[in-house]
Amino acid sequence: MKDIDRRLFMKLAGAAGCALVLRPDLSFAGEIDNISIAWMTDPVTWDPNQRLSPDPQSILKTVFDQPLDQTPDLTLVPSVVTEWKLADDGLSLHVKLRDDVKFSDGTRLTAEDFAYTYHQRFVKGDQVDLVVGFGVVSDIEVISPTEAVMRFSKPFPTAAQWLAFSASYIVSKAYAEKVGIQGMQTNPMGSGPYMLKEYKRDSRIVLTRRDDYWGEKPSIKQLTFEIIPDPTARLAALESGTVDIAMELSIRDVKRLQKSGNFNAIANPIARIIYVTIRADGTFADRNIRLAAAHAVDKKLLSKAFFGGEAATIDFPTVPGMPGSPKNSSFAYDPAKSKELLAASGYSTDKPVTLSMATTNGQFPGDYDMARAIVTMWEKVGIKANLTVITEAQWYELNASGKLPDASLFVWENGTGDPELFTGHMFNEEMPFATYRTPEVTARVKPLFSEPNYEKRIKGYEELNAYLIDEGAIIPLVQAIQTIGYRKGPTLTPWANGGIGPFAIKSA
Amino acid sequence: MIKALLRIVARRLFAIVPVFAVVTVLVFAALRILPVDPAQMSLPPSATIEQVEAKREEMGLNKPIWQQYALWARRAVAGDLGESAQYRMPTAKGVLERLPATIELAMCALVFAVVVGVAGGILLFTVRGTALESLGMALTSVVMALPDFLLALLFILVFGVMLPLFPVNGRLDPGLEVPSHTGFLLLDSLLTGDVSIVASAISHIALPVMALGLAFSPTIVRVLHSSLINTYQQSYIRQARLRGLSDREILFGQALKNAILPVVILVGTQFGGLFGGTLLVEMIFSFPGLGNLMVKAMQTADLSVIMAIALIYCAVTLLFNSLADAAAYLLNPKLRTA
Repeated sequence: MKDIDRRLFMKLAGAAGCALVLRPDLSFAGEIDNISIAWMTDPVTWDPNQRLSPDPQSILKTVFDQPLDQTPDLTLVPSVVTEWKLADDGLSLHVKLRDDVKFSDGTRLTAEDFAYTYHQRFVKGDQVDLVVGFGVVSDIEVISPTEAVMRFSKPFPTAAQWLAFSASYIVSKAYAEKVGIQGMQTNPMGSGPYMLKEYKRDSRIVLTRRDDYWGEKPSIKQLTFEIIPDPTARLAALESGTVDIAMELSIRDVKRLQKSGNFNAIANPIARIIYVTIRADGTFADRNIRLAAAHAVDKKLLSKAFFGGEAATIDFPTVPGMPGSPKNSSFAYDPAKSKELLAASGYSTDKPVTLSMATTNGQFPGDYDMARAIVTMWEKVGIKANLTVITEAQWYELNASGKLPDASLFVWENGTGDPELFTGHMFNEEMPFATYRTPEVTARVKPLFSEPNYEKRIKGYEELNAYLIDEGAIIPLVQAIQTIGYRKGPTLTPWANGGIGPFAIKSA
Repeated sequence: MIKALLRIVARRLFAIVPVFAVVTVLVFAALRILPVDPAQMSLPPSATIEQVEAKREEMGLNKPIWQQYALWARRAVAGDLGESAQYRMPTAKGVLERLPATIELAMCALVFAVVVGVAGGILLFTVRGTALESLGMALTSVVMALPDFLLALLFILVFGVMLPLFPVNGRLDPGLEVPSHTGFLLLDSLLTGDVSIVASAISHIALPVMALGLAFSPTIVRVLHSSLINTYQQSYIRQARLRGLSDREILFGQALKNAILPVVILVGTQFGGLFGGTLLVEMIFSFPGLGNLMVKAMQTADLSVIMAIALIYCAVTLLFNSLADAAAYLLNPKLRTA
């Protein structure tokens, strides 16, 4: 695997909401001249393969095409790639491409560009996060301008899912060779439905529609992303009429906008989970303590307190409806049972078990307060947690070096719609993201990474998720929500993963 | 006098160098103490311990800290401030791109603060001894208690939403292009000769300038007010009255030029605080300057960017302190004969 920035790899989860382009169904009469969206962060780079960060994916997807696309329920559908077939041994993926896709400079997109994006870029040493998923590509055979075979150094059953994931956009080989990586970072040229018209870093992005786009033409002629990091300022931009849509508002503002006469707002559940990680050693080596900690957390109360009741509680390290989610299974909030389990190990409220817990402060809204609430819930049953604050960057480092506290509050995203990026990455001890590391869990999860049969693999994850909860190996809390405010008039249909894009805006 | 002034300025600027060097050492050491491993952060998640160690060796992180600092300093003098882990481009490039915006914002805020502060101080002095003076003092206390970022949010609410008089984000209206000649948008806008562009640039910078400047101006009001009161107790003011000069002539012709001296020193020494205030104000108004960049760098532990921006803030503070000393020298004859 080529070198990449590890912190960016960790952001891949954000793709859950943002990698998949949200297709809100905003209905207008006729074509729309301009839609302005208040967005949280600048893309940082216009090289679409460079970063796995979730936030820019929706913007990148307007300029670049992905080989495969996803429906709201994360089902893979054709895009530039019209057909794909994974070999039975998972060691190759045969793809067929459209023959009518053009980059905005008029040149045709071919299998050569596909091969360049998913293999040659790594070989020549480009520092791109795309290598995280496709570093296993050993070769891409170009059979014709519209046909190619990806070959992998080891079975890659989720190759198709990764083709629809963050940073997975086809770039022009000729353009890349002409302008180099620095040119690609500043002057994007893609095959997507829009072209970059104006870019002021950390301020504004203006995109104009391509009338020669191969796919369905969006109704919006011009898309403007106003980069506004502060949520209050985003709300102000919406209320002052500067923008039509504002992303990621506070839940309090969502409730207020919902009651207002001029605006609408939604809290959209996305493929991101908030959970407490558990170490398999130390205090939590005792299964009773692990399960006691899990039973003591009132998730419904957390959702009500921090998300206005809009966040769905979860009992498994996945989101409702995602493949791999055990059916007809749940985990109860039961503080009495917690006390019982602790008593069996010799602990009580008078003689509490002590452990360490870490939390971020500002990684997501309410993280620190949520951690404090959990500590309080634990205290009531006989678990005394010493809470410390760490940054997101520190979480990765401490986890990789095995120095993370006994428990930590964290967030994880998954835009692939496949359980590998949830349970697989969170529990494979050969990957640096695993916190709960035991030979038993590794023995269960590793084979799933190379299982080419989809049904068998998903079944494996269902069983693994059930096992993990039974063992108290993780405490899933809630499914995260994405909040969107928008001016009245249009209707907005929530998308399963919180990107935002132009295609769901259609003429009335 | 000019020669003496230049000598003063040169001496002050020369004195900045060792102070700046000490600050670079302190900032460098502080960032190294942070529990963030730059080597590990720049490698793929699947990196082995051996790979991390090799990277640490390559980055010189295993060397004694003083050698690491020497390596950084040698590169910094040549203009190489390292590479941004977040942007994957030279730190110097990213920082220099944003520096003009912050300088422009800070200077405009300073001018605003001085104009409002001086006018307010004079006004407060002219109503001394009345209820209006008490009211004015109370008002300055209230404004002083409000931090600049809170003022920014209040301005957004009042002037951006309730009375939408000003835009709340960015530097220009969409669709407007300004060729960059000086790097400073206001100046470049003026050079276009296009009134709509100039108006757009001014309206976008208005709220951030007011938020930043207003947080600073009450201090100027109070210092000038107090200084005028002290100045008016001097005998030459009594003599000026006996000579038949009007109140206006006494205030503006005699007293103000002496009373303004503490304000000049104040502006020079406090400018660093105003410049530092750009951090949050830029973020709130999505003003694409150094403050915005610094907030992102802190969130992502982008150490080379944090270091570069911290040093710029330090350099600006030191420079303004020196300029304040020079201005004091110019304005106060006693300093020239000392």
